[in-house]
Formats: sequence, C-alpha cells, structure tokens
Amino acid sequence: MPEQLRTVLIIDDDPQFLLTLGAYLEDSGYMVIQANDGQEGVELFALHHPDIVVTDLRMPRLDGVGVLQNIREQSPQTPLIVFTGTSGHYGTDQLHQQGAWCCLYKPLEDPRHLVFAIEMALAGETADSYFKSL
Amino acid sequence: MLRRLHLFFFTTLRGRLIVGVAAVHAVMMALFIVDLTVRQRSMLLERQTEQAVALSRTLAVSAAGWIASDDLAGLQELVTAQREHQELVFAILTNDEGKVLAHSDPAYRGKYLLNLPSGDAAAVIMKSEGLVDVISPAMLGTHRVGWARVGVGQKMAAGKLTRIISNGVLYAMLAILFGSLIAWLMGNRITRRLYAIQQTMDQIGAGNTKARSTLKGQDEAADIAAEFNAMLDRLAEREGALSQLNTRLEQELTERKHAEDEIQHLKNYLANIIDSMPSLLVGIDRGEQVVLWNRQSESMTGIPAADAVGRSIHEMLPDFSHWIEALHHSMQERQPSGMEKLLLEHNGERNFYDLMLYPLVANGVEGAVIRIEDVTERTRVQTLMVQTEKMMSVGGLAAGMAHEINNPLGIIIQAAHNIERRLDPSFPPNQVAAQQVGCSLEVMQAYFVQRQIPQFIASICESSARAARIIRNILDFSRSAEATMVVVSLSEVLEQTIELAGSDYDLKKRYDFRSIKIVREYDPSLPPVKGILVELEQVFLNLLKNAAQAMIANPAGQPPQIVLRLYRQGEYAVAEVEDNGPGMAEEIRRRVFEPFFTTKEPGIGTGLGLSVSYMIVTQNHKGLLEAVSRPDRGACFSVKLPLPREEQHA
Repeated sequence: MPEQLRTVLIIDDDPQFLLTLGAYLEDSGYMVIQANDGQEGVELFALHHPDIVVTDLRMPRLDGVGVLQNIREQSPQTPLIVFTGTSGHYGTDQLHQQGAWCCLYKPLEDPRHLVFAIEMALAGETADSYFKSL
Repeated sequence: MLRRLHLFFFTTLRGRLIVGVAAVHAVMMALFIVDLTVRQRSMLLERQTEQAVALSRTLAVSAAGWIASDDLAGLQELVTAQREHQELVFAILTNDEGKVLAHSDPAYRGKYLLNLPSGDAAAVIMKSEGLVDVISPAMLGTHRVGWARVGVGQKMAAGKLTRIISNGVLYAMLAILFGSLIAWLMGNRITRRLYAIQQTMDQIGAGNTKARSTLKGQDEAADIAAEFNAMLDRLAEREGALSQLNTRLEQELTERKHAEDEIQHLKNYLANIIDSMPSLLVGIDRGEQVVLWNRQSESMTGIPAADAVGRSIHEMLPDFSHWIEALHHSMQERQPSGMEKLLLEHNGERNFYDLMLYPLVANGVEGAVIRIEDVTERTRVQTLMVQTEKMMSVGGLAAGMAHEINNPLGIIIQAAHNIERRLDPSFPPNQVAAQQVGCSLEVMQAYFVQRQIPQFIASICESSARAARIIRNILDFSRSAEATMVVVSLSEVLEQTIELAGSDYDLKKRYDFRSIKIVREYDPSLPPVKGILVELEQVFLNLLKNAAQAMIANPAGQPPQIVLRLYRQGEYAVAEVEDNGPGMAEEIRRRVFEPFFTTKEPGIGTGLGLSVSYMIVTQNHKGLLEAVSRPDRGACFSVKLPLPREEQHA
C-alpha cells in the first residue's frame, strides 16, 4: 500500500449509492471524495484534483457528459470512468471519444470489477485490456 | 356398239331427227304399199273372174252341141283342150242334171255336181285369190242342156302382187334412206350451231367466265346464244355480288374466329388465374352443387375437378360443410360474408383457414364462389408478430424496470460486499475500529458464525449478483442499439464463439463443451455481413449453450453433436446451429423466444437468452431467428442476416 492514498472522486445523485460505493472504495484503500451531482463534482475536482473520477451520467444540474467535458478541460490526463445505469442517447464509443476511460454499467455483479478498472486506469492501461482481462 | 347406237339415235338431236324422219317415211310408205296391194289384188280378182266367166261361157257354148249329142269323147277332148289356159285349175262339163260328162281329171266322170244354180245365168260359185270357180249354162238355143264349170287359179296374179309389194318395199327403203340423209344433213346444220354455243359453255366450264357466244344469225340457235350471253352476263354480275358477299363473309368469319380466339385466350387466361390462385376456389350453384373446382382445390382435397363438378359442396368439403351452411344466408342476401381463422386439426396438425363466400350477383347467374385460404403460415407469422410485440413491450418494460432497480441493486451489492468485508477480522481497518469501540472481533466473528450471518451475507451477494446478471442481459439488448455495425465474417464469428463456449464458466460447470463434436458445413463463398460483433457472439453463444444443454441427456449411443451451417438463401446469409438432442414439442418451440420462458430448472437460465438473441437478430440486425424442431429429432436454430445491398443481387 503506497504512502500517499490515491484519491477517487465519485459523483452520483443517489446518496445511498454514494454511501455504499464510497465505503467500498475506502475499504479498498482509496481516499474517496463524494459529490451529489455533476456541478458539485466539477467544483470538488477543481478543489481536490483527485487521481481518478467515477461519475454517473444522469444527474441534476450537470450531467456526466458535462462533468467529462469540464474535467477534460481542467485536467486532460485524469482518467474518468463512467459508471451508469444507462448511457442514455450517448453511445459508449462516443463517451470514449470524449475522453472517458471506459463505461461501466450498474449494477456490477461484483464491485471488485470497479476497483480493478480503477487500478488499471491509474496504471495507464487501456480499457480494452481491462475488458479482455475480465 | 348397240348402246352407242341407242345413245346416238335416242339422245342426240340428230339421231332423233333421223329416227323421226325415217319413221314418218316408213309409216307413209307402208300405208301406200298396203293400199296399192289391196287395190291390185281386187283388180286382179275382178279380171280373173271375168276371165273365168268368159272361159266358162266359151266352154259352155263350145260344149252345148256336144252335150246335146252326148258325145262324151268330144267333150273330154274339149276339156283337155282347155289345158292351154295356164291358169285353169279344172274344167267340168255336166248335163243338165249335173252329171259330170267330162272333167280335166277324168276320175270324176260320171259323178254329179250338186248345188247347181237355179237360173240360166252364169254364176260365180267361189271367188278367192286361190281359185275363182264359175259355172255357166250350156244353152242350145233357149234350151239349157248342161253346165260348164271352170276353176281358174291365180298363179300369175300372185306373182304380180309379190312384185308390186317388193317394189313398194324397195321404194320405201329408198325413201327412208333419203329422208334420213336429209334429216342427218339438217340435223348437222342445227347441231353445228348448237355446238358453237356448247363450246362457249365448255370454255365457261373450264373457268373462262368471260367467254361469250359469237353466234350470228336470226334462227333459234342465235336466240339461244343471245339469251345465253345475257344469262352469262347476269350470272357474272351475280357472281361478282356473290364473291363480294363471300369476301365479306370471309372477313366476318375471320373476325369471328379472331374473336373466338380472343375469347378462348381470355377463357384460358381466366382459368389460369383461377388455377394459379393459392386459395381453394369453388363455384357453387343455387343448389350448392359444385360448378367450378380450381387446381388448388384439387391438390388440397385430392379430388379431381371432373369428379367434383356436379356434386354437393357439403359432400366435397365435409370439413367446411357446417361453416358453409352458416354462411348460407349471405347467398340470399347477395352479400359477401366470411369467417376467419377456422381451425381444423388433422393428425395432430393444426391448420387455420379463412373462408369467404361471395354470392354471384351478375344477371342470369345464380350461386356463389367460395374461397378457402390456408392462413396457417400467416397466422403463425401474425402470432409471431404479436409475440414480438409482446416481447418488445415486455422487453421495454423490463428494461425500464431494470433501469429503475439499477441503483438499488447496486446499493445492495455494494452494501453486502461492504458488510462482508467489514465483518472480516483479518481486515486491518476492522481491527482499528474494533479497538476504538472496545470489542473483540474474534468474539463477534464467533457470534456471527453461530448465527450464520456470513451465509446470509453470501446469499445477498450471490442473489444480488444473479439479479445483476439478469438485468445485464435485459440491458445488453437495449444498450446494443448504441453499438455500430461493422463488416463481419460469420465463419469467424462462429469460430470465436466456439472458442468462447469452450471456456464459458456456466458451461464448464456442467459439462465439457470440448467433448461435443462440432460439424462445420460452411459455404466458403458466403459474403460477409454487417453486424455488431459482440452481439452476434452473444447470439451464437446462446445458441451453442442451449444446444449443449439440450444434449446433456443424450443416450450413450448418441454422442452430442452440433452441426454448424453457413449458406446463402436469397438475400440472406444463414447460420444454422443444429443439435441432436431430444428436440422440442411444437408448443414449446412456439414459445422459446418469449422472454422469461424457460424449460430449464429454476436458477439455471434466465429465460432471456433466446429472447435477447431474438431481439438482437430481428431488431438490431433486421434479420430473422427461427427454430425448427420435432420431438426426438433435435432442434435447429437458424439466424438469417440480410446481406449488404451490394451483395444482394450478386
């Protein structure tokens, strides 16, 4: 375990989801920053500069795509994982093009898959190698 | 020869003329000869009689003296002397009493003559052509002393007569000959002119209708020729009119033939249409007897039209009889009526039929046309469409529901994992927290184990994971619309899927997929199709899994085998997955694509595999997914994907 904990910003408008996911990631050894919507998310990003962002898509105020665009402007190198129930009218390819590292769909059968994705993203691996390794 | 003569004399004008003239001559000459002969004969008899009288008188005068003197010798001499008369037949001298004194035949002397005349005049005893017998008294002064009798024959007279007759006949013959000659000449003249007319006729007969007689003159032949010409002109005129009429008739006939051909053609065409109808078309009359029985009727019932026509419709289509009966009213009302989706079961095969009754409303036609259509396939397709619709709505509903339970389920999963981890005594943060609150993790753990808490938590994890898989299956489909089409080779997709199936976790759990014999029947010329690779893999994986699962229970003598086929069918590329498992009953086959329909034990399948595959193929790829199966004959699923447009007409 590294000395400096890696920071994960999770953005979701469902507080219960945020709570359980946050606890899980904390238990998994991350420093977790939680935001209840996209607007709060981008503000917290600017404030804390987390190592990685996990965001929902459908949210009030600012949606996941907005978050993605904003964070790409703030910090083009920070990986962002879309973790959503539905991609809506955005295709995964589109999200990928806009700079999302990958798109994961809720619910995951096993939350470890998300941790695995975060680890690979932080390690600079590609999403393709992640899906292949599943 | 005789016949020809007969023909000449009695049929030709010349012959008749000759015969006529000859006959007239013959009759005239015969009458003349007869008359001449009669006259000659009476004249000769008169002369003979006169001769005989004179002879008898002479003899009487000569003999008178001798009789008186009874000089028999002298008398005999006198009689004998009469022989110089050639024609004398006999000469008799008698005395007054009739005693023959002298006779040219002396044997008669002394006999008596009877029937002596009473007077003193000479008497003719007999007067005939053969003999003129005359007796004259021999007078001596005024005193009669005896009789002289003389018989004169006609030898010379007969000769004369014969000559006269023969001359007459000769003249008659000459006259006939001469007359005939003249008749022949005249006949020739007449017939020559007639012959000229005949020649014209012959020319006409030979086809030269313009020929006319050029006979001149004032006689009847010329009249005939003129009349004949006039008649020919009239005939020609009439013939012209006739030929015109003929041409018109011929034209009319051609037109009529043409019209008949047209009608026949139309009739054939209509019959062809009626026969080509995929429906059973039956015409019935008012008495519900068959008058029309098209080919489809023949093939459906096996009854040839010749046998069906004239029979009762109820006898010919007993299965439909009561339905037709039910439509009877529409025949009277002259309104078409029908019934749909009539179900008939034969040997377990269920067929649906639409039955329509169209009353014939044309003038003079009574009856109706019955149309029966096998709508089994259409009904099946409709059912399938309804099913698809149902699946779509169910799918949509499920997707909507899935979205709504995404987060809660995610929360449950995450929470369960959190609880699991936070109860783990070996997890350092737990130890820190336990120390802070002052409790023993070991004691807690013992308690939890005692109360089976870890199992419950594991149940939550496992069950929520299963729920997540189900939702993933549902959502995979709705998400796949987002994916893009790429050009894929079906054989490559199939090979990849086989590899995938070999390592599939679910499959591995129950059997070794690699032990299944895979038979590949790929058409190498099959062009690639456009598709979403992962989806197609999902579809084929599903089909392979199903096939593998279906063959678990295969008997020992029937090792599991999957046949994979790739071929082209019209505008589709077809991929078939066929197993040799137990197959499916029809009612199962019909429902396999329904969402949540499963024949597997609870917990093994989601009941979504095939319906998601169905959605992927039909909705996302505009293809077809069909299942063919019979119990004990395995099942065959075929995926039909449309070929790219540029390949469709290749």
